[in-house]
Amino acid sequence: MAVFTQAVPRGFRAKLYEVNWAFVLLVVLIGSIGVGMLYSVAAGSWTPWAITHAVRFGLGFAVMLAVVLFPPRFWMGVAYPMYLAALVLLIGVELMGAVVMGAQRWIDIGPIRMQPSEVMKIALVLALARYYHDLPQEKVSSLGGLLVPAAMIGLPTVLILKQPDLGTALLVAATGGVIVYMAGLSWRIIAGGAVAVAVGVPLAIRYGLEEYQRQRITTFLDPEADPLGAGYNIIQSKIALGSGGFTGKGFMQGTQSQLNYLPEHQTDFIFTTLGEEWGFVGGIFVIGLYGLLLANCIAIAMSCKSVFLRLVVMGITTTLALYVFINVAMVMGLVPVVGVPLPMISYGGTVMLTVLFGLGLILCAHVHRGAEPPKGAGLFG
Amino acid sequence: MARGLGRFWGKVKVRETREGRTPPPVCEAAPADVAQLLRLEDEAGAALSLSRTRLMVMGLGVGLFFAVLSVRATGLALFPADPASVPHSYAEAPVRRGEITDRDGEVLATNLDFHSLWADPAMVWDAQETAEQLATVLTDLDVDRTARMLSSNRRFVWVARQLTPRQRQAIHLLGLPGLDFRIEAGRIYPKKRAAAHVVGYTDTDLNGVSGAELAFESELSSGDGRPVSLSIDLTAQNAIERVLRARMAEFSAEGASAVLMRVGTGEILSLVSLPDFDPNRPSDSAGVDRFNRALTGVYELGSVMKPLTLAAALETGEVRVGDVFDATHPLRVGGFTIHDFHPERRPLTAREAIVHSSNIATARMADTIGSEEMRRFFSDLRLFERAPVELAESAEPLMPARWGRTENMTASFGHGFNISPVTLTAAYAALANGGVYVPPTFRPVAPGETVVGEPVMSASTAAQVLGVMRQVVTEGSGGAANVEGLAVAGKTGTAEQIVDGRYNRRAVYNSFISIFPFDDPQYVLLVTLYLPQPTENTHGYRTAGWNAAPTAGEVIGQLASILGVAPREADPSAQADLVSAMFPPRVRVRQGPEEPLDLVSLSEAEPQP
Repeated sequence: MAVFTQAVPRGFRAKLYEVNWAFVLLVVLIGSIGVGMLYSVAAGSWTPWAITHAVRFGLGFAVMLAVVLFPPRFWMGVAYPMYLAALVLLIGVELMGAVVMGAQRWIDIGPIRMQPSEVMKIALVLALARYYHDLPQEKVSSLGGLLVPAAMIGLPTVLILKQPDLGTALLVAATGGVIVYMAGLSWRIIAGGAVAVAVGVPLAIRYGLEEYQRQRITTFLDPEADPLGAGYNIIQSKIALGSGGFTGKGFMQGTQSQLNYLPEHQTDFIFTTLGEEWGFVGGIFVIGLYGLLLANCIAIAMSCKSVFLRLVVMGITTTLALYVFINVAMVMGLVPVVGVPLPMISYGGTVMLTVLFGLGLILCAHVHRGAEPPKGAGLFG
Repeated sequence: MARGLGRFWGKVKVRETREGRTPPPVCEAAPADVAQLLRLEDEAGAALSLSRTRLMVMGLGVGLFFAVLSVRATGLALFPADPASVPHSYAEAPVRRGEITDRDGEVLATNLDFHSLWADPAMVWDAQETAEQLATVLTDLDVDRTARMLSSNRRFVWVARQLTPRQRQAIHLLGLPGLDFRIEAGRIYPKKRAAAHVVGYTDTDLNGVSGAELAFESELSSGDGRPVSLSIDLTAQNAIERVLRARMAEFSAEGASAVLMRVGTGEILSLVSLPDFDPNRPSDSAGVDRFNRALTGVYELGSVMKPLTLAAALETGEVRVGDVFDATHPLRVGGFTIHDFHPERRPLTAREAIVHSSNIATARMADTIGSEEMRRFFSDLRLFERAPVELAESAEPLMPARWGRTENMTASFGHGFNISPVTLTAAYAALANGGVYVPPTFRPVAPGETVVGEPVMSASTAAQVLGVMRQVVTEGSGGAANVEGLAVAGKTGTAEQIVDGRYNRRAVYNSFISIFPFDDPQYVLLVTLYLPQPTENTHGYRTAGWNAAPTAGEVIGQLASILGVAPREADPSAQADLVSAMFPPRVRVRQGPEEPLDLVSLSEAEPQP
């Protein structure tokens, strides 16, 4: 069989030869656009954002290349410990959040400030992939094969939801769901689950809860929960692409760079500036870059021989795709505003590191696509 | 658990190592193993094709995402969303207040829907807990007051108005019962502090309170959706503001202001008043920050008035620029003594009186033509009335109770009556405009539009005074504003202010009035620094030549490229003589039709400097 004889590169140089450089080029291109936009947002200044962004991107890039060099069996080995650690950190945040007033999502470890929910995004993907890698295909739709992943996804989702961070919780749940789906869950169970959720949740809300609890949830699901209101989104869209027109106002010509009234214009709303300065052409170009990157990811997933790598790639691809889609759709006024950054372009350290780490795993999967790590015998077998 | 972990680590490692070091070649496998391998292959193959199908589905899903984004982007690019045309998700959308823009359409004021938080106290479970929870998001919330409000008997109380999207989201996530949001129309000023005094602001019910928001209220609230454009040039405004802010700090001044007007149209291209405020949150600023120094403030502006006195004198025909006035000794009049700041202690020509800024000689000049003439001329220049601009902030001048001989003489060098910087700038715009006064305006004048002006002095008088003002810059106290190639004409003014009933040498309002380029006057700029302090660079001086003039020079240097003033190559002082020659002084005919001028005898009569 061809797949069995495909060579798995060994050694530093052999691995670098196998790296998908088109993929790397896309990543660098997107990161550079981020630096350029942040330079422009600061009215043509390297401070306060562009230089930091560039440094962070450089560090993340190094991390990405480092990740590639580890063999898949290493990542399989760290999958469960990493997941458990992230879970412990999330519980820690929950406990500390009870002590310290208000919502807390951060944990300070010496000079490093980290967000356990970000670690969980990667850890959950690795752990689920490892689980399904070990699980024989015919058991995927069995009771045990259903309950364990449900718990693995459910626990962190609930903990993140309690922070409270609805956006990240949904992202983690969706990523987990996609992996379960990719693992080959039977269509019947998928359909059944969908029906059960559609029927069960409203019933539970209607009859299973006290009045005040119900009000909390209905407030949560308020159809007008769009936190910015129609008017704001319309202004956003108008500014984002309408005023940019077809080719935009040109680099650093956007009035956006002076418009400090826009909340988070260097982070979540950076696509707005991009649309204004580079217009429709620029917007489509960046969307296209992400599209190419994601298409590349899916192609890598297809080429992977082992279940573990395939699921890791698809899990991370899903997270990335959701980031891009939710962010751009939010800026264009298609979905309500939730705090989701544009990967590698928005200013922000943790997300940059998570994304590049994830991309490193995908590259790692590409380099080792022929590898077939052996199946373990269950969770701790 | 630790042991379990160790076991599974070990297991993975051992298996991998064994396989990695000696990969068992397929062909060497025993028959039984081959069978097993084949079964594994089948299983793997089935799993692979299953996941390929699912990958395809995922790929299609991602593709669909991007298709949606591209379609939306295309839609936005082809049909830019017009706020008026987009259907709102709520029925009671208010009539949209018009936007305010600068002359190039840059938005200075626009609308934004805000979310405000209200509560139904009857539905609130625990008022104290609710207030404390809210305070984690709204840091400036008064917990005790809010808790009291939330436990009142009313069914509707405002908790917080105009929340940011983040705050709204955060409160939403608190999931507190009894709270709800209401959408309110709000006004935002995207350029924040830029031109804040001109744009003004509205109250929470969107009624104009000050500036253009108040002045153009009916136009803005007419609901026709058309923006109100102002004469302001935002680029120039920003440039001036930046320079003034820096210089204000350098001289530790209490404030600074500038007015930039276009000659001929009366358009006010920039009006800066510092300290300023953010119209998005006017209540966060001190009242003094919202005070428009250039329009509402009236001051004794001092020596910047002297060229106008010269114009008044020339205009009567009784005085020529070569006429001599004695400035040897201080001048006593009506119980006052008029001194010179830099005494020349000699007789000065009318021209020298301006160039050396002699109070004594200028006062004598005003005395020569009499208070009647001075008053008539100043009132023609609209110095005695509020600047006729659209903004309600334009203040009436402060006039002496009677305008006698003494008042006339002090007025000649800018003391004893108070006017706003805009009023003075408009008067100099008339001088720059060949003697035709054009009312200042905050609305843009379209190219080719007819502007109605009123002749207030002869073109010859205007040209001669311009020439003298050019010499102030080339030879006198305005040297620091002599921007190369821009032929700036100007005059400094250091006006001591009355502190505890006496003029105080240490409390000065310093101005520099400038007209550029002087051989083809296009712009008038008045820069004023309020209470500047001496610095090392000014060698302990606090006079306008050391602070207001260099500030104006820096502003003009930056404006040249923004406004597109072509640099002059010819020697400007040579041109000063040329202009004087083109407009020889003539006798003003007060009654009856103007008689033809005897140019030959007039030019002979004029001594060449």
